Amino acid sequence: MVPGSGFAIGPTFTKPLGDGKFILQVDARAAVNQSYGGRLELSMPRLFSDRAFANVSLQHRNISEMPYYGPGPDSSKTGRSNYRLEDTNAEFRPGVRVFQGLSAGLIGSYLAVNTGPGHATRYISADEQYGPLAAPGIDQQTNFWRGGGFVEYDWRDRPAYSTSGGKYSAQYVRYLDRDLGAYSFLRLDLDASQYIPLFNRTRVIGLHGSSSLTTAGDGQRVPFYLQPTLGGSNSLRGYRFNRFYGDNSVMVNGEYRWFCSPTLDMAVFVDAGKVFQRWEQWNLHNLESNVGFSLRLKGRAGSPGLSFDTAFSHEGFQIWFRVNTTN
Amino acid sequence: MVSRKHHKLTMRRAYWLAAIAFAGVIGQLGFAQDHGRKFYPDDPLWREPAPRPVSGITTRTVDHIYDFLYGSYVTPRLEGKAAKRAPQRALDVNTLGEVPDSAWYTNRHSVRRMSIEELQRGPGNTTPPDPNGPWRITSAKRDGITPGFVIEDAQHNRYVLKFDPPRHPELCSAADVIGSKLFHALGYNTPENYVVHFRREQLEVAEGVMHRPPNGKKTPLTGRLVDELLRAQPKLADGTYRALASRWLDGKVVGPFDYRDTRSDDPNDTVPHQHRRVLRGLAVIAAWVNHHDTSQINTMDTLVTENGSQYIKHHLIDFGSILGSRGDRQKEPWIGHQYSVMHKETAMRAMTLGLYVSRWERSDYPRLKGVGLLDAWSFDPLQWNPEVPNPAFLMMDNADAFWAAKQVAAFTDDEIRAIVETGKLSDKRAADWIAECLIKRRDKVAQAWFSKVLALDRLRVTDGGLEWVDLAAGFGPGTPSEIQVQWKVFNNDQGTSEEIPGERSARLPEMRGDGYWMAVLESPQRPKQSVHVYVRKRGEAAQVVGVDRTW
Repeated sequence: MVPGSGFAIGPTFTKPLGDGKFILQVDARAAVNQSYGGRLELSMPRLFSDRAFANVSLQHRNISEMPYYGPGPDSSKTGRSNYRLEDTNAEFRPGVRVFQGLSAGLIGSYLAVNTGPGHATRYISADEQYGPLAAPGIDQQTNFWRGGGFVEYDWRDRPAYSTSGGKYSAQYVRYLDRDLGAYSFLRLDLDASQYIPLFNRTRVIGLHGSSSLTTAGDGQRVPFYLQPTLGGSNSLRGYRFNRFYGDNSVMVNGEYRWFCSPTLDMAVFVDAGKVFQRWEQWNLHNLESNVGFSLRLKGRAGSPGLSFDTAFSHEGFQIWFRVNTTN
Repeated sequence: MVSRKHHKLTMRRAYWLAAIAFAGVIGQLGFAQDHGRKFYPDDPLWREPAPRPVSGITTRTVDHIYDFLYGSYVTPRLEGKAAKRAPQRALDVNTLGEVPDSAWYTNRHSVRRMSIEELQRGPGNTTPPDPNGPWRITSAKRDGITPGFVIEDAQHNRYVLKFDPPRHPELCSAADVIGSKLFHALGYNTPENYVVHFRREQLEVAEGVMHRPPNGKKTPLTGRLVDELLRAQPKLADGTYRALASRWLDGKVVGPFDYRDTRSDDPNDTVPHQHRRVLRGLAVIAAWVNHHDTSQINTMDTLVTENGSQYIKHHLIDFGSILGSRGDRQKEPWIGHQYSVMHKETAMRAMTLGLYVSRWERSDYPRLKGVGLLDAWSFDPLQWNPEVPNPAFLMMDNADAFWAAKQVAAFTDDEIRAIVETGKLSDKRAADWIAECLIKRRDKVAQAWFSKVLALDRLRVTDGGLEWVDLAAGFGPGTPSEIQVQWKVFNNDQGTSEEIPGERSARLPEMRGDGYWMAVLESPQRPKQSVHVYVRKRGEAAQVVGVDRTW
């Protein structure tokens, strides 16, 4: 479910198969705003003596109130609309571990997408507010073949809640519009995190940067529902979920985290980022920004089981409550 | 002394209720006669009366989460406040302030010096798992936080086989073995622990063994699952794996003991555990070796048979959470320096944005295999805390702490190094670091607690004079240079004393017939501290029978 769906509930079933060589996971969720979704995943984390791994998954989502504020960095908070996003993704993701921490793999999937009028009555439906020029693909839906690859180097000490090390990843995916031939594009996602421990890891400075870049050929456009977005608990926390849509995005986060007790960490953070139209605008000028603080309740393993983030931006403040969070 | 009362209590419980009622009046008369008597003919007692046979013992179980919550939120309000409002002296001590041998404790190294070989042997070093035969896995270990199996070797001896955290090889197994040797030498009952090396082919899974992975569902334990578990373990160059084998305790396991109150089904358990010096003083010893997980789950009672009689014996087990280890990982820096739940400190840290940096946060830990986070620099024996408040620790008074500090100070540098060797750490620098930390921490323990009292001990009468050893000597500054003696005649029946003018040397005064003296040892440098030594003369023999201290 996405933020704003309200209370959601659902079962998760996990079963190791073949003495743990395979893991089958099935989960389903339904929210009070009539959103629902399910996922079936078979993962093979250790193939060929741990040198390879693979995931096969089938996922379906029907999100009844996906927010949309219009395109680009100049969109207005008051321009909020909502749309229904229904997608089904069948994906195969094999990979190899080149050496400790470094892995690379391929992505192949089939993605079927449908959009429609939003369920929320307090916001206008996106198709009534924005036409296909502002929101490409809002009038026509299509299905995609997705193919690409990824490379990742991860040397964090604890992936669930890192105190040192870093993770750097790049993912390149080509979206091929197989029905309309109008929405084929390329997407490149770059992500880097670095953690600097102080005072026996009781203080941590966390730095994070990410950028998503897309490009479409002549006569092609990136559909708005597959555009990079900013805003939410994992990006600009002082802004509403998916507050900004654009063909490209760049974002940086900085965090200072300190130990309060074995069960509580606190943090202050700053987030900044923007969406933009052309690659030439890839820079750190004219960023939207926010500051905030966070309370993290930790379990015995030292990872937060509950997290409360409060962030302040010029658009107001947001409170994010998360369960089983990572970094 | 109190031990006498305890003995009386124990004996009383042996009578039928009707007999007690009948004898009540006579007993009252007898008690009235004994009321003022400080010493009895058999004082000091060095062994508790033989335990009464027990039967109908039930197995105690402990819920770890409940234990944690109760310990964190209730114990400070019960024993923490009781220790301040109504402090009570330990009840399991003799007239010298020592703890008699019992089902809890055996006087060992501090009273009767053990050789290096004895220290390294610990509770027994003769029955490691048979390396030549198969090891049958008969069950998967459920208690505690470290994964493991229960195995049976070719000689049908049972062991708990535990593994090191995969990212910290040697850490837990070394700590567990070192701990078993140290606590055995300190007088506690501990299991036989061994560092073992084995090949995968040695492990056989018995039929019907079930396994529950962390947060998972119970499934049959198969050879493949054993492979999976071992996959995370480092394989040594000779193809073997390292693990800890803890020999199954003799007797029937009847569950852990609580650090408060008594076992209701054990007629020998008459002293509330929070008033036992062996458990109160454990706070000082735990601080020394950083035994931060002193919860019930790391104790065990067994029903044993000796001389045809069954009784309950009390053990400390599972030392994987001592030194720099936390059982399934290395210790976290805060451990040993604060409880898991401390509201004031939490609020202060929250409000100061982490700008307040504690001493322990500035410790410099070496990156040595098998060490974890262990240091001596940040160690403060007076401020040390286990993870969860322990009721017996909260009731500890200066007398308990002095007794325990004596136990700690009894280990020489070479003895500590010899015990650390039993951890079989592959990196000598790691063993050296642990030994050095223990030596420095021992010195800090001694300095901290010996400075609160005139640390004059091993008092005895030799050649007509009173002799003692100043335990504080050799543990830094603060040792008083001058000890003054004042002799008094002590009336054992009345509990009164009368000064003997002019008797101000260590020589025993003249006395015709049998009787008691009391020597008051004081130092001008420590005017508030004194040691009262009671000497009993019977015929020509004189013996120290009691010691009282002021703090």
